Amino acid sequence: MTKEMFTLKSSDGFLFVVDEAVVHQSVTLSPMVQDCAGREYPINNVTGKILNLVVEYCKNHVVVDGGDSSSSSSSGDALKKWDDEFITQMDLSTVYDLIMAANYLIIKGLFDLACQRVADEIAACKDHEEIRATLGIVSDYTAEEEAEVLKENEWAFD
Amino acid sequence: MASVCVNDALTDDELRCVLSKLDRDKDKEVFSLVCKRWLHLQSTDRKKLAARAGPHLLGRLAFRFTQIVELDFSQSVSRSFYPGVTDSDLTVIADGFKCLRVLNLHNCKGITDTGLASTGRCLSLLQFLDVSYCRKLSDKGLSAVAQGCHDLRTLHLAGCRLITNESLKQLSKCCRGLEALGLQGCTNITDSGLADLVKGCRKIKTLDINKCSNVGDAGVSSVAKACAYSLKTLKLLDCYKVGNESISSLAQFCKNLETLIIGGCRDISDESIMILAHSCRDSLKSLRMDWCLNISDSSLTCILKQCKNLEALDIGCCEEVTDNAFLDLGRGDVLGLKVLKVSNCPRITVKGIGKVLEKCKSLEYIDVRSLPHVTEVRCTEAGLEFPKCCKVNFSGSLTEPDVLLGYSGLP
Repeated sequence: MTKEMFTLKSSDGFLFVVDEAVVHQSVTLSPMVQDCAGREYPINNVTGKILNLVVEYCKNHVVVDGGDSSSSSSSGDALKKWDDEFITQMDLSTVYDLIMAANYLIIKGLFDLACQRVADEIAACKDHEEIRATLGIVSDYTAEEEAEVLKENEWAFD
Repeated sequence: MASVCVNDALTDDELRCVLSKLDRDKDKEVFSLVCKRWLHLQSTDRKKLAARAGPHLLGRLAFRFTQIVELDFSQSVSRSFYPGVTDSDLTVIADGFKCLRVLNLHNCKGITDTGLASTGRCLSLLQFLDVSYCRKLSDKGLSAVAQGCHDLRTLHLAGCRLITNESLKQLSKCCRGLEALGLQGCTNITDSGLADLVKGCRKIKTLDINKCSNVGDAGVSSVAKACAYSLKTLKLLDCYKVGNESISSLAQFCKNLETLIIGGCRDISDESIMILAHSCRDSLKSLRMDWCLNISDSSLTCILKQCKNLEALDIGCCEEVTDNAFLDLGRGDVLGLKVLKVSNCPRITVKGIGKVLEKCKSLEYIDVRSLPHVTEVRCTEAGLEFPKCCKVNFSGSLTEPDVLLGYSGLP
């Protein structure tokens, strides 16, 4: 049985031909399976560079037909390794774009993976000043305000 | 400096997701120091707070953490501060934390009815309140809480000695969803108070009237009847006026009873216990009847044979109990007991203990203190083998798993 193929068009005009299994990973795109076979489907807020990465992720996460849902630990480990390498080699501004794309297309696994990358980046910083430097944030605190928040954090605990 | 600012790229929801993926509390705190937008996200994400603070700082915390539903100010030996929570603190809390569902003021001895009145005035969503050992509280404060917090489900008043039946009347009128009530040591409570309580509060699952020495059969029977389907835990430690009539009522009405504490209820005797054993044979998990001096082998055997789900049993100081209660167990009788306390039962010997060990494969703790015929030496001589993970208390040096027997000591 030939697979149905679908064409996704990025905001800057790049075309990606993918099969049904890839499309179904996006909750937003899933309904198009019924309407859009053979036609181009525009994705207006995702550029070609990012859509390329999204498609790459989804192709790797296709669940093999007939396989059982609880994949064996070895193939689960291999997938996790692939995810780690995939997300770690990106620079942060690409990760942000990926978060926005995964949020818009509603691809939960990719969204969580990308958010986790940012969280890991934050956790690796030794203090809030390093976080600001790493993530490009300019502080809007005065020295007094910052000291007050620090004090509140000391007095409020779990 | 990074090329793209994360605050320009991501929305609040996306930043919240990143925040949720930080595991350590320290990281979440540092999050709040980065910039004001992150402060807002972290602060409104926080649902629970414990704090050591006076009114000024509490006000700031209330302003910052607007989504708090749980506040813990409980005091203990390991965590206390001077001068402790005061009435003015409570006013700030009540005004500031409007969404509060859980407020823990355990052992905050400084608070009075005035502080509690602000709680009642402002915290209409309150479901859990612990003011145990806040000794200054009286009916005035409790009535204010009852009248203001209609959604109250759990109320801890242990050690609030000034509380009388009047508070129970107010609860009955205003807090019909009450599920757990702790009145340990509230000696002014009497049977008529309990009867009034269950006129309105018919969904009580847990009732702790340990040491409410003025409670007797009439009160317990009215509780049993009104809360027949809901009652799971009933604690009557040292309620010496409670007798067979109470037990018979429980047997008649409360088929879901799991935990029963009747230690010190000396008038209770075999007949009613035998009826209870039969009625609650599927539900009963924990039974404490130490100092029930009239209990003998006949009712104990019934319990052991019929209550298949029993996990904890305390028959300390039940002087009439002999080895036969255990020796009567047959091949078909399997016991799932995890905790057994038979201290001060002078007629028990190593024979009885041996049978217990044979039948109870899940035993985790056994208390055999002050048994003249059961010592460590004698057990070894008799060849008794205690299971590896079982703690054996011969001389009183082990800390007890009181939690299984449901008795909370005074702080």
